[in-house]
Amino acid sequence: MSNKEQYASVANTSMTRTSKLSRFFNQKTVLVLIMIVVAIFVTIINQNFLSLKNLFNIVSAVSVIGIATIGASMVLITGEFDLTLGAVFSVTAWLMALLTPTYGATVGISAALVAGLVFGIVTGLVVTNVKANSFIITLALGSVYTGIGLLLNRGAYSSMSGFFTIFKEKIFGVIPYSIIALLVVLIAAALVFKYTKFGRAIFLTGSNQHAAYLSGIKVKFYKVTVFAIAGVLYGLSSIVLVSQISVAMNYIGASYTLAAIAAAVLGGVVLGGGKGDVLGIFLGVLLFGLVSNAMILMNIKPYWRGIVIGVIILIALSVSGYLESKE
Amino acid sequence: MEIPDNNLVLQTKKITKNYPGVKALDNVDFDLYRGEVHCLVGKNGAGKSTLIEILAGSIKPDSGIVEILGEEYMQLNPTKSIALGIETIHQENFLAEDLTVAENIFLGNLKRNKAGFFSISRCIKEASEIFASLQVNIDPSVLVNTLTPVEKKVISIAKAFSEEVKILILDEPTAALDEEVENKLFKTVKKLLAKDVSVIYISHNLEEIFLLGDRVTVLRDGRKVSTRYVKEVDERKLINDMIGEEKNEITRDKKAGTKDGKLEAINFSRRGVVKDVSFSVHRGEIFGIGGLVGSGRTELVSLIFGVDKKDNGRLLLDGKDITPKNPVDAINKGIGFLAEDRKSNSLMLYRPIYENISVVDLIKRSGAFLKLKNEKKSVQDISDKLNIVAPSINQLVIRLSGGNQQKVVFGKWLLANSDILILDEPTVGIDVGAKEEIYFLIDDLTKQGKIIIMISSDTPELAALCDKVGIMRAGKMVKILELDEVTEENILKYSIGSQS
Amino acid sequence: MDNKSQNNVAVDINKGRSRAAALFRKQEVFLAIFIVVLGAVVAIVNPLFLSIQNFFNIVLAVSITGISTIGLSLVLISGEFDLTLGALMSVQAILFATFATKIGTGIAIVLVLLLGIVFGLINGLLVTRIKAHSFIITLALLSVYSGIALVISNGEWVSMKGIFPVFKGKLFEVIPNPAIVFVIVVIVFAIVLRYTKFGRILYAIGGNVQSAYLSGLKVKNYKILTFTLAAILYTIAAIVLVSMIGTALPTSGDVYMLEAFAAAVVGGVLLGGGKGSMLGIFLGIIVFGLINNALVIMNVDPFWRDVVVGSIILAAVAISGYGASRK
Repeated sequence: MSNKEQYASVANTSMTRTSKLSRFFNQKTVLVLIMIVVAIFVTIINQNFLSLKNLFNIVSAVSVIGIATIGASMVLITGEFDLTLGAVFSVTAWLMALLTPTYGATVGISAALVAGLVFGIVTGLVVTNVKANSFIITLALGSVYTGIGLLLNRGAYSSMSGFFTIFKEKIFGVIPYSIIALLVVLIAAALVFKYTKFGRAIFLTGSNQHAAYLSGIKVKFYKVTVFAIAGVLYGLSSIVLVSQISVAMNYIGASYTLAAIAAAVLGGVVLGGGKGDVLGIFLGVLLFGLVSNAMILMNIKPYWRGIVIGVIILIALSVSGYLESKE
Repeated sequence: MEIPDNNLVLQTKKITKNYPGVKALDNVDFDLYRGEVHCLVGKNGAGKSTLIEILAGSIKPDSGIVEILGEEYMQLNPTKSIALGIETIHQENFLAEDLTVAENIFLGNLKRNKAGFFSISRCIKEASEIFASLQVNIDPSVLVNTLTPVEKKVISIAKAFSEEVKILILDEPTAALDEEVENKLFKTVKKLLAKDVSVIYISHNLEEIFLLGDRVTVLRDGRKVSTRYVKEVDERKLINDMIGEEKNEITRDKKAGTKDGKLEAINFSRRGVVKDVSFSVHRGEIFGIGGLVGSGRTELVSLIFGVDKKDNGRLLLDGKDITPKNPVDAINKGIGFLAEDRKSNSLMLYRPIYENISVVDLIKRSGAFLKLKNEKKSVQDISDKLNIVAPSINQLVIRLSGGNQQKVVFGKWLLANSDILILDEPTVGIDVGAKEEIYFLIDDLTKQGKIIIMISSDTPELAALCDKVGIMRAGKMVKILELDEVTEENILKYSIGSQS
Repeated sequence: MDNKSQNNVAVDINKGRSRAAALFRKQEVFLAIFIVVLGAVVAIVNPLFLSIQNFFNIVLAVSITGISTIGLSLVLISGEFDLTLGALMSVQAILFATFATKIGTGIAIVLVLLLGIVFGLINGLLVTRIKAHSFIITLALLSVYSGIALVISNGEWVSMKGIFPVFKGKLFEVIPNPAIVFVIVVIVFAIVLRYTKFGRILYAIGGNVQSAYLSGLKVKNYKILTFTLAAILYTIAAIVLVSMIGTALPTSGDVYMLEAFAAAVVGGVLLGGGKGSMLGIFLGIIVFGLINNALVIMNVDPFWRDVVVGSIILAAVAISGYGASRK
């Protein structure tokens, strides 16, 4: 027998035993199962959960954090942290509030996207040139950006009513535009991850930065670009939110950033870098949205909600961790 | 614990360990008697490391019994193993870099002073005593991250002697060492044997087996193939047991300057590391770089490839200046670099084979989109040509054996069509069978007119393969041996040698 | 013999073989200089900075953050993240205030410390048993603990009604009691980190966990112990906080978390684990205490605060990163 045949025969015997079961029960399935369980619970208490309207509500809400999470996930995949999410999100919102009343929606939206881009590039340049953990660098930068934003809006909250409510509206009166926006971003990201040189490069960089460098990958360039794209996505998600609720809120803050990272991790993005996929990220974000919505419909008291979410995350992690170790 | 009357110190019965897709150990029986050196050999992936990890307690077997000093153990862990007197010297150094040498030596059993507080001076004192008895010349009060790779290996070895050892397990202990240190190690092992310590010794280096061993067991594909007395066996028999088929020795047909074209390295320097190194290689030649560990070999090639910043140095190909400014530049100019320590430097372990092999070629190409079908086909071709053993090219690289991992790295540079290949220790940690395949591969590359620069600590390998060998010592290339001068004795002589 | 000349090359590369890494000294020297310079600048702008009253203000503020930061640093040195700091402080603040007013301060302290041990054990057990990054696990726990704080307090504050004036008082009429607690904690843990077996093992685990495990150390147990100690320290900080202010909010502790991370990192604790000295941590804490005080004393527009703090963190980390290894 040649080496290959030997290996194949050994592989076949012990693989068939474990493969079917473990292939089925992976991280994503765990997420889906939890969502199904939650869905069943809610529906028993409140039929409205399964109404089309409510399901669209969930996905619309999810679209905001979903778009931002895709950005944060890209950064995580390259092996870095990006804690500037909340800050960029807030600042772009305030920027819109500042400019739109005077200059119109187009200027407002463009400004938000450009600001996101600029913040992203700055973050990327600092992270790639300062020799310290990106956790603390982006933490500090987030503070700086927030500070800049606060100087702009002086802590007030501005009404944006009437200015651009497109993301509140629906295409053909049925599917909210926000879901379309989310889908576009998800599909674009999925295509980039799987079919472009750029996507391949960021996974390899996250997997082993030094080896990537020695293999000719321009690590710094890709990292800065990823941060820049993330910044634009944060700006975009801010646009979607503002148009949904017609208000540029006061201060979103760190909890938003952490929630995005949590959703990404639940979805299979590894904090060390090099692993993750769009479907998983979407499921992670969906889980958050679904549970939040469920808690509202079940009339769970607001103060209990944090506990519920925390416990669900821990359960999801334990189960998928357990399954992985069986592998 | 008492050694039972029959002098059987350790025994494993029908040990089995499965991993997804691989049977690492299949009903392995192994035994060890008092005061003997029982060698364990086999190809990469044969199961040697798995077996000793079970004995060291860091892995649990799926079935089977481990018997130590007459008592059965189902679940060992490192703490228990060490308590039983089993000390393991692993292939990788597991050292805490930011702690001192002394603290690393006594990590599992840090010494206290009378007041009960941790006492670094006691650790240092006792470490010094151990070092003295081992004839080691390292200051135990320095931080581990200031040591050279050889010194770190020495510390890992010394660590095994911090507790009273009854069973000493050595996994490829000499892979990173030079002659001098190797000899000290062998002396120490012999001293231990005199004290009735039992030794399990894993090595790819069959010479060492014949030097030290009493018995030798061959594993192949997780099964025990044979256990024999060393004096009753010869190298060919062992290799046959390991591979399962007859294989011929390799000799290389060297012809200097077979093709036109010359690569010149001129005055490479970096303060304190490399001093004014120049050499030239013709197409179709293999230029070897020899020298002791720490003499500046890897540092030199890192300068050439553009990884580290140099003070001086030019690289000319047929008179044209192709000095790389950085790795990206080097790759664009047709240079490839198979780095030392492939797991850290050359492989994305948790990505599939095809992504690892295609990376350089992919990045070099323009165009934003991947062509997956073409990519996989090219990779499959290379994989077949190199005989990479894996269920498919979608397999994660971390699941491959050392030899196959190295083939993946070679595949990467082959696909990228590198003209000039720098190889840094290309056959370290690779079994005999795969090594020979790689030798054929390198020879084949020279026949295609490529230029090869090869660093190796394996003197016979260097002597057999290379047309010329440049010997490094303390950052300088002290001598370049050519053709007939390329012999093991010469290489060793200039590596260690006196002033010249 | 040529062994020596071989070593010379190595010595050149490694630049000296002193026991204390030259790097350490640099960080602490830099911090000390920074503190002096900052102090001088502020004193010039506003001489009130040097008043006794202000000095005590700084000392009081620093004490609370400091105790928590030291707890966090233990976990960081062992190579893990602990995002529960703020939430645990909040929970403990609420519980302490509630117990104190209902049962009496003495018993309250004992109960709350016991609970602190329980929380720490939960943190440690979950982090060591669940196969996921401690970042996400403690993040989920943060959510749970915050929720508990909200539920117990019902969203309202709990007043101590001046029941426990001890921490408001001063030893010998001069030194505020909180400062004494802080100094005790600093001294105790300085000794632990440097002179005890436990301390060395923490550095070993953080530096190379495989090495520690293979040397026979029970890594999981040490990590659980570390999280427990940290939780106890957060509890002590919470007790001091509540005694000083007299009220407890379900969000009292939240603000301390980011600052603790910043102080620890600026003080030289590496987020990857294995590095950090008590002196550095202490100086890092002082730096932030000074900055906060300086911003108030110099009447800096509060909206500039975030920019200033963020920039200083970046500067500190960039300078210490220069020449050091990343992550």
